[in-house]
Amino acid sequence: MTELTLTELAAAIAARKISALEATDACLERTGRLDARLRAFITLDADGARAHARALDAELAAGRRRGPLHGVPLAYKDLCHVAGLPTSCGTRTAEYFTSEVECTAVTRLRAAGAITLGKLNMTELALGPFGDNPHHGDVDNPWKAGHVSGGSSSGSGAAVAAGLAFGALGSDTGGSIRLPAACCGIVGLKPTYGRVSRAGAMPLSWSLDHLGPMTRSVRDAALMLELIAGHDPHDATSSAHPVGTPSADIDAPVRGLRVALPENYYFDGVTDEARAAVEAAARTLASLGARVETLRLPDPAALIDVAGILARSESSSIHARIARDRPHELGDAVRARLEIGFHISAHDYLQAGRLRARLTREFVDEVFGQVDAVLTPTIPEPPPVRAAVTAPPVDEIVRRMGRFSRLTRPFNTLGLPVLAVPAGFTPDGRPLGLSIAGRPFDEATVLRLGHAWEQAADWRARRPPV
Amino acid sequence: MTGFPSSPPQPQVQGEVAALAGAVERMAGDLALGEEPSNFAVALEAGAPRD
Repeated sequence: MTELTLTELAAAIAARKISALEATDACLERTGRLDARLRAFITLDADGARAHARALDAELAAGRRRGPLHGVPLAYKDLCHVAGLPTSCGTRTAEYFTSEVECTAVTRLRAAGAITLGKLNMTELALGPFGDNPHHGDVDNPWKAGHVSGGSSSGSGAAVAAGLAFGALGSDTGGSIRLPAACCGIVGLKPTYGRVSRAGAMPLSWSLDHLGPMTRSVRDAALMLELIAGHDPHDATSSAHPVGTPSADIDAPVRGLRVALPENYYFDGVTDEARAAVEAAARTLASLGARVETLRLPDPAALIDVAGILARSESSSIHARIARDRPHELGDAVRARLEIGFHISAHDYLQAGRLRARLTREFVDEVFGQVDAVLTPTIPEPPPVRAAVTAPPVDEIVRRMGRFSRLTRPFNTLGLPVLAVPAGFTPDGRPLGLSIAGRPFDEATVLRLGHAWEQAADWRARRPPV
Repeated sequence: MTGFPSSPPQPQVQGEVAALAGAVERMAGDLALGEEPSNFAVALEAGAPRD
């Protein structure tokens, strides 16, 4: 049962072929069996999930269906505040992070009938792409033990890939949805900035944070997006732009869509297998009628510098109290990254914000005047051995972090929607990743392209050997 | 453990801050007077597909 996608399970529950309790028990049984190795959960709410499942089964028996996710068990990155459960943000001290406001995206999913299994492991304070955590254990890669699961939404990636949950929420400030999606061989969507409310989730950088779905299929991601997107009065940056019906539009043909492979930056230093996977996806889309061309993109290095100023300034402001009061509770790499922001001037921060506006306008005009989407690798290499990339010294760890996330960070500066979708596997079974970036608020097109690629791929039924 | 954040900053931190500041300063030289951070949201809305 845990091999079903979220939409398949929802349909089976609606048809009374599977009960919500059976689906919940299947996830809990699998978690009990596998999570000692994977370490995907920080908090598992087995009793709460079972009680909710029983109630939803009774409601369905009485003819009431709450919504499209009635009875579907989900789990949330442990920076989403969920009523009644602690929130650690990947730190040692859950009591430090409290909120009167529940995460709006979680509230919306619950209103659609989803069951909360628990809270998922993550990199400490969402700072880091490798899935290691000194307090809650390193999240392991379900496809290859001892390898990087990606971060910072590492537990979300591993739980969904391994069938511990049918879907999850992640957050993405520099790649934290897309990197674990790529490493764990699942789908992750970083929506347009403002598309999904950030209210009730721990901020890392107000300007760059995004919440989004992590799922086993593109269709699942489209459905979750539809449910969580839309204006929220609790988030001043949330957009009122119409959400549309991306899950209904996903089967539309891709014929005639114009798709670019970047000529610069995005393939520099990328391993042959990571490059070949993206090129194979481009050929497949071309065979389906998309028009694939190469295109030189505006300077990504500028976008990364701007992101560096914004992210470091904002994260050190947001976490100033824990950094000053409890620095001994933070890992060395996290402390090192937070420290820089304390020394950036207000002048440079404001200039970076002004530059971001200009760079975004230029990118959108220049690139999307010519094409509908851009294809890039998500990760520059297959998931590496975790012990190798997290080995001291600290300054070298920070440099490795920067290299591993260099393909994802430019899109946080730009705020564009990017879908991370599996792109195949190495001969030794490690996932490879494809990213599809689109126009602002045009999640529908990137989902359509991702779905077409997924349907054509011969590995989509493959599951991790756990 | 020394205080956090360190004051004055360690040379390595100083180096990274200077590199970021230098990069931004080089790019910001010709920013228009009317360019402000909130134009980012305007750029996203303006770039959305026309229905």
